[in-house]
Amino acid sequence: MLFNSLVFLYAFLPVTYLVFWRLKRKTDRYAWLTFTGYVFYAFWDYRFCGLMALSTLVAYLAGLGLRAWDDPRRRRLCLIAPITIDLALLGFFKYADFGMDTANRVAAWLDIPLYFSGPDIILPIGISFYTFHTITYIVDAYRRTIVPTRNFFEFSCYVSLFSQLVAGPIVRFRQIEQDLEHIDQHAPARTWSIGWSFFTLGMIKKVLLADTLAAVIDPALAHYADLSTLDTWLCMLGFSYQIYFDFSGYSDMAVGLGHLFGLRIPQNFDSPYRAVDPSDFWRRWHISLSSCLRDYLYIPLGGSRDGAWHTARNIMITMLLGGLWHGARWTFVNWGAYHGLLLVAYRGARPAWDALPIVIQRGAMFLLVLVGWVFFRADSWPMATHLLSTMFGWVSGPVIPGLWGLIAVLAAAAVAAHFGRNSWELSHRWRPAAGAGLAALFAICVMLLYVGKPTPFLYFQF
Amino acid sequence: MPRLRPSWQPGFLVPALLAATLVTDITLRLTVPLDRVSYRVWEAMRTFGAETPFRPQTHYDRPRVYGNLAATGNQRDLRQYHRIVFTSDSLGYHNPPELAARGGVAAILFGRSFSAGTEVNDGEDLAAQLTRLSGRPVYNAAPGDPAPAVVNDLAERVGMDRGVVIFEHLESSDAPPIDAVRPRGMSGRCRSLLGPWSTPRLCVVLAGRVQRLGISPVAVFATRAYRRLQDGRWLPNAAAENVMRERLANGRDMLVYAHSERLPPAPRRSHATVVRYATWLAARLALQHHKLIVVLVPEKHTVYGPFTQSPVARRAAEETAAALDRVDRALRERGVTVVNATGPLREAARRAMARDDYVYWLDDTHWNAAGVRVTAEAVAPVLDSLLAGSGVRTR
Repeated sequence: MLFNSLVFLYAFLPVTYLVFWRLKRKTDRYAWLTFTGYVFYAFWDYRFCGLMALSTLVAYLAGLGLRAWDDPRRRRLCLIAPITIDLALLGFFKYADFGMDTANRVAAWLDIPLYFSGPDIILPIGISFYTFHTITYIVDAYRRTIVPTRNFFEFSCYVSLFSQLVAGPIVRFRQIEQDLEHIDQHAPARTWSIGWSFFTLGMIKKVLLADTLAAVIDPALAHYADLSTLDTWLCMLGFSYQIYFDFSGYSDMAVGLGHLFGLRIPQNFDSPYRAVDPSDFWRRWHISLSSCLRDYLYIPLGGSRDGAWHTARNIMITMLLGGLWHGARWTFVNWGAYHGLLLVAYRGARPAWDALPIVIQRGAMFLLVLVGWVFFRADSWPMATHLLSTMFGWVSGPVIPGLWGLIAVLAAAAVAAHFGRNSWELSHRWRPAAGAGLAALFAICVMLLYVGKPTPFLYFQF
Repeated sequence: MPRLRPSWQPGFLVPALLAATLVTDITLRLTVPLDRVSYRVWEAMRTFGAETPFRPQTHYDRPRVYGNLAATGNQRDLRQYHRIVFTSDSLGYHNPPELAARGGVAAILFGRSFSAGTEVNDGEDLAAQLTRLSGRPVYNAAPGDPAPAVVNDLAERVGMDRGVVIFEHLESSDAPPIDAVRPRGMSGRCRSLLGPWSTPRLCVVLAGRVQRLGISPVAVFATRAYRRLQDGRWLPNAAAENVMRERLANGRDMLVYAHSERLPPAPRRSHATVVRYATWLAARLALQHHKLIVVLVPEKHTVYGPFTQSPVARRAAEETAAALDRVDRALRERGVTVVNATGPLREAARRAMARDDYVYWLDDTHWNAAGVRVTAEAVAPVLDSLLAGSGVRTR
């Protein structure tokens, strides 16, 4: 099920909300949110609910063990066993095809008579996100950063919470623990308006900006070999805004929905296209992922403690795995490598970069990010290289269909992304004209939902 | 900051808006007549859930309908607006209202939308033109399959004794299942589900309601507005890939389904199934003292393919025409009476093109009145010969 679908808006959300507030006991509310999370997930494919339940159960039992035992060996077992199971599931469902395909290519290249084949594996939606939830929970419990919960429904509600289930943000248990603990004491009126405000802004970002951009650039990029230089730049500019408004729109909706149920989901985007350097960008883009990569991968690898060489190595490992997390494709690995190199280069050239005027820093950073999106958007390495060569060469060609619409939406998107306040900088107390304007834009979104099949969020695939 | 009124906050406005939209949507689904949200007869008159194919005893008269290909491909500039007058009889078929009651029908026509004649006016459909040409009443029972039980039932109702069943087989369609009477739509399924508790009226009403609820006027109007923006300038035409513009030798553009050229004919349909079905049907109808004529109707791209400027379209048309020829030969070998309309339609199309005239609509998959006339002229002599000496009275 998608947030931007009529069945969600007309049926799922009202029923979930009304029943939730009718229930008074904590455990009832946990159980209800767990149940609705599974219903939400089953709308995509009910067969994979069992996988999520298994991951939840394993992490819950590990948490109980970590809560009960002080013996280091037992605690290590409670750390390693569930993480191994989680990573094995993730590896099988997300990376098995990729691994076999890569091995076959290497074998063919080396002229080795070897060919791996297996069944076509369906990637369960959201597996990257709920696996992250369970792993961070176990690691935090092992580090004694959190006290694992004894209430199974509290934990399962945390893992399967529909608002963040399939595309994040990656919420750590400690970030939501307090709200979960007091889920029976929350007053619904307090966060009702702010919740709807976030949700409305997210819907507008997703449906009006991201989907309209996609309507023009997706058909154009399907025939990328025919694009001119100008059109390729426009398409990649469009994709830069599409992915931002798509994912930050989803995050805003998740935050808004969380508020409706008394759960404060943390900020995931902080105007990333206002970033002045690569480090700044990663402090602003997909904050929940980048902070997880920092805390659970980069710092355990050694962080920046052991000199420039080790720091560069740690950055590259982190970013390569971060890229791979996004999808089982070499273009995602390339995208991670590209950003890793930017971070490493920035560490070397920091004094010179920081001396540049802030406008130049922002402009250059946006340009660098835009070029990086080529790897992210391309379906294959030949597509990525073709797009880059077209962008940095000169190719003429026919104008893409929908050019005027693209330019209009790009202008609105650019103003919002570079100069507007983001959802977290707003007070969410709207003056009448602004409130009416927001509602009017939401009405257009609803009409667009009537037009056709709702477009899935880009991050559903990761 | 001054105190802001809650009624202007999204917490009030957005849920209120959603509730209002939902109520409006459901109300319009139940109240707006289907012909207000459709652009042609088929959607306006069809009763997908009920016993009858079209709403019985209904007169449809619209001055500006246009073709399904122009609609499917959102090709506004190729719409051929025209008036349509379509009347259904008491059984819900496209016939003069008094025909069924008068009885004495010589032949019953079964088939698809081509035979039903939703793109031509009253009196221009295949049954009406056959009636005129042969001088014997031909009853239009399309859309529908000539399952022997259905033929029996209908023959009794319209007074056909020792008559002829005309079965239109459209090139791209599958043969009906042998010896099976499919329950008609949702009301049939409803009856089999409710068993002894069902009444025909209850199931028809329920099916009608479900059908109405399935069509959202809000969605239709929103889609129409959005499609206006998909003009290639503001937004790409996302529907354009559904259809292709084929340029004819005389320079005119004609729309065809995009898939008609992408797929070769052999894998698309199993013609052996058609031959098997028609042979079986002829034998079964003979037991009821009826005779069968199979009319092979080509799709638009098969008729016009040779006259396009596209080599791909020409090759695809030759393949589909050859496949129809194979069916024709196979049926003749098995003693089934068959009329292949491909040749007459192609010849008529070639002659008409010279004067910028056509036998199929440029913006629709179906034939127009001229195309129906050509087919009727090919079928009428065969019908006459079968009826001669069969004891059927003539007017």
